[in-house]
Parts: sequence; C-alpha cells; structure tokens
Amino acid sequence: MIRDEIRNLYQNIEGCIYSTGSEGYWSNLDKKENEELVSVLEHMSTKESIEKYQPWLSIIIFSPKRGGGLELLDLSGDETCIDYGCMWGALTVALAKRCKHVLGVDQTMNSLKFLNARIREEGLENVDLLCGDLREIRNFENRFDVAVVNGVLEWIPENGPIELKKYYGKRDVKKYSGDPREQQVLFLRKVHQNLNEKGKLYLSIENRFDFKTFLGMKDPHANLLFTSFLPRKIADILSGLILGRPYVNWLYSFKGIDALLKEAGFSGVDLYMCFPDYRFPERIIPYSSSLKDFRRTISLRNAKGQVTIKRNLGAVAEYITFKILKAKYFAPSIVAIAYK
Amino acid sequence: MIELLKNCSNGNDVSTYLVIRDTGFKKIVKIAATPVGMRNLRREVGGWGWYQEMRYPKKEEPICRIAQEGGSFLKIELEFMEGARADCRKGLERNHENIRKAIEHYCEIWPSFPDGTAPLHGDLSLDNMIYNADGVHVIDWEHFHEKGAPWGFDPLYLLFETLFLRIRNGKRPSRAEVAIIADSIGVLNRKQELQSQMIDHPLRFLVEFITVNHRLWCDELPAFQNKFPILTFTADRVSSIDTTIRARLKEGM
Repeated sequence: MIRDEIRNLYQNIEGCIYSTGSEGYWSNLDKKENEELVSVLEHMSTKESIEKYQPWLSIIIFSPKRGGGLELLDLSGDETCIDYGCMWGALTVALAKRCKHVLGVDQTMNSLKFLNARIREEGLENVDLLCGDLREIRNFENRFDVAVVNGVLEWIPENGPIELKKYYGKRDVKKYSGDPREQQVLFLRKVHQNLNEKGKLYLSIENRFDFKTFLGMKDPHANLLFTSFLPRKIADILSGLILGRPYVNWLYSFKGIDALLKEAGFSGVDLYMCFPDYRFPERIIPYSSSLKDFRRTISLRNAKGQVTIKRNLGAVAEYITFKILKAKYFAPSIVAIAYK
Repeated sequence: MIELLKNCSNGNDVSTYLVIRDTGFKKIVKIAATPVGMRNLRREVGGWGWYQEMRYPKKEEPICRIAQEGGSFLKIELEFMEGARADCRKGLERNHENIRKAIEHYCEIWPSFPDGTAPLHGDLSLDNMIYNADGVHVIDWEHFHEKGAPWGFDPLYLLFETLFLRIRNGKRPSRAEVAIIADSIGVLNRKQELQSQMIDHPLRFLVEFITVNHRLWCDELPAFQNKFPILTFTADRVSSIDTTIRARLKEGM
C-alpha cells in the first residue's frame, strides 16, 4: 500500500500531511496571505476563510466544474492516484470522491494545510498529502493507476520560490540551467515510471497556439504578448528584455504534446480539445472528432454578470475559428490521456 | 471515445458526457460529486423511471440507471437517443410545429391527479426535447417531482421560456407569438381544465409559482435566476404580456 509506504518513509506534519524535507513555494497567494488563510482554519471552515480573505479564489478551489475532465480516465472507482502539484486540491478532492486512494504532492506546505482541513471537512479518508519538490520525489515504481498533471507541466522548468502576484509579468532577474523541454521530459519520465502497466496520465495545459493569444491575450504564465507561440529564442529575448529572465514556461501544440509524451515513454496518447480552458472546461472534444456540433463556450457576461465588448469579441472569434473554420489546431487548451 | 457535453451549467453540479464505443454504440453518462448534483441525478433516475412507464411501457431495459455510487459520488448512464433537437433561441414562430408536437405530447402522456396536480418535469424547454420518427421524447429529468405543480405548468413554462429569449431586449411579443401561446393554452384547457389563473394571467402564475415553490428546483432563489429567465421580467412587463394573451384568448373563445 502506498499509504503505509508514505507513513514509513516520511515525517508526519499534521493530519494526512507528510514531508520529504524539501519544501518550496509556488502559490497565487503571497506567503503572508497564505499564512493568514491557514491561521484561521482552527475556528473557521475552509470556505469561510476563502470568502473572508480571498473570495476570488472561491470558484477556483471549490467549483465542481474543475473536475469535469476526470471522466476521460474512464474510472472504475478502484484506482490509486497521484495528483502532481495538487495545491488547494480542486482535482485531488474530485478524484478522492470517486477513487480508492489519492496521493497529492505539492511543494507549498500552506496549500497542503488548507487542503488537509478541506479533506477533513469533506469527510474523506482516502487522501494523503506529500510536501516536496515534484521533480525530486522518490520513485514509486509502477504503483499508481492514475497520475494527474493539471496546469503544472509549464511550471516544471521554473526554479526557486514563486509568489505569483509578485512574479507574474514582473521583473525578476533569474538564470536557468538546462533546456525547459528537457526538464519537462525528465519530469514526465518519472510520472511514467510511477504508473503501473495499465496506468493512465491525465495531462492538461494551455495550447501553445490558443486562438486568443493571436488576438492579444497575454501569455497566462509570463503576462507577455505572443511569447507562447513565437519561436522559443525570440520569446527568450523578449522575456529577457522585459522581465530579466528567459522564457521557460513552454507550452505545446497538439502535435508537440503528443511527441513530448511519447518521448517520455508513454505508448499511446488520446488528445482532446478543451473549451474555453482546461481549468473550467465546458466542452472537451476528442481531437480526432469534427467540430460539427460546436457551440459557443465563451460567456458574453463577465464574473459580475455584465455583457462586455471583450467577451463579445472573444465569443465571435471563437465561433469563427471553430464553428466556421473548424481550426482545431487553435483550441484554447489541451487535455491528453496518455497510456503507459 | 468520450466527450464532455455540459459541465455544471446553471449551477446544477452535473457533468454530462457522450460515450461512443468502437462498435459505434453510444450512451450518455452523467456524474455528480456534490450533494446538490447527486440529488439532481437521483431525480433524473426517478423521472426516467416514471416517463419510461408512461411513454415506453413495453420496454424492459431501463433507459436510465445508476452506474456507480459512492458516499459523495454518483454516476448514471442513459440510453442515447438519436433525433433532431429544436433550437429554442429561434423563438416561438420558427418553432411553431415543434411546440405543437410538444404540447400534444404533454396532453397524451401526462396524467393529472384528482387534486389537479401532475408530475413535474421542471425544465420542459425545447432544448430538452428530441424529435424523431417515433415522435417526441422528453429528456433531462433532473428536476422531476412525482407530484408538484398544477397540470399544465410544464408546457406553460416551455411557451414563456421560448418567448423570453426573443423579447428579452424589451421588444413586445408579436401578434403571431401571442397567438401561438393563446392557442396552446386553449389546447391544454380543452384536454384538462386549467386553473383559472393559468388562463387569466399565465405569466404571472408562472412567476409566482416558481418564486413560492423554488425549493422544487433549488434551495435558494438567487442562485437560479439565470436558470429561470422569466423571473427577470418586471411586474409591469408581466402584466402587459398577460393582458395581450388574455385578449387573444377571449377572441378565440
């Protein structure tokens, strides 16, 4: 059992949290904000603390939409899963409700403390959390039926603590060693090793050629224009000039993801187009299928319920790109189910 | 091959998938992992059970069944139904024939209890109808209640929801639209005498019924304003629409 193995190998911090000793930091919240959020959990539920301190995160953490893609794994309920970069557990909790056991791994201790409280509130007893660097956790050879890498692969080449608000689009001079793609392949190889022979990986990530990036949507990782689809060298120069660091949050096309996964050892890959993005999927359509029945997925209204020009333009562009031109290559996000 | 068709739209906490096997066999899968979603799916199973008995009495295999059940997870499977769908955004006029068939179907299938109530579908819209050679088929039973609303509530709702989408920008309903609604109310009333409010001020009746009985759909009213767009009409608007329909109904009587 994975559970016994974790218990024997690592130090228990609290509840179901164990530590490898190599804690790091990656969060949308600053360290101080994260600390505040966790400090009130003794006398507040996780939902109350989010509503009070970070209401904008409420749907990101709690929306049942988040787990909408997991059914692509054709789960029977008997699976042992590993969720890489689980953070506050949007997918960890969704997986735990339908599988036998889930191990959530993340480098940010306070995210795991929050998730630990949430798991207790949900009454889930089949989750363990491991705090450590995703790239360095030990090899659980062939032990998992399912691995989840949701919005994580593009961050693998990063180094050092990241407080996203202070980092995203901000100047922070950094040097990196190695090629981003090589590091991503190395990480995926480890994921591959951890899966058993029938194991499957659920990978979700933005498409490098998301139609919106051509229309002026900034790169969701660097907050720069066009960096995702420009040739890597030019993106590096652009990022170097503006942010003082090379561009490492490499995204891929459908073909690119397929090649990356095969290079990491996966024998087969099913690709899906995900609309309007992988975090809150409305439609997930096999890449092999036609877009015959495509319907608009971009809502005309923003979070406040107002109809905006930007939303309208986005919806029109979406309609033209996919309903009329059927340009699948430019789908906003990619979900890949990869087979060991 | 699997495709996500709908994901927790209108706060129903249900994800809907189309599964196509290599053999070409198709089925619909719905899952939920919240109490609200699981409740909706249980209703769906109940609704199909009732509808199957009424609509397909000879069929033995259940159309809808629970496929997987856990403490906080529920998955159901449904038969896939081939057929055409109407587009309710096209409004009443261009859907005239679809509406006529839907009302006829309701009259044929729905029983009424001695107290004038009837089983409630709860979201009988043109989007939830499939039309094929075997006639009309009602789908999406997530709001089913065996007893809940007066006989005729569901088709009235269908008429006004379709109307709303055409006139939400403040337009007045056209003569043809008013005629379709009034004629449909007439058809219903001939099959089974409707409550007087449903004839005198049908839209006000709908709005009031949903507001008072919102627990049939959802625990809290604000959460489903989007789901029931007719609730966004002002009282003046409701009353002026009702007046034109009443006038037309009197003409026809």
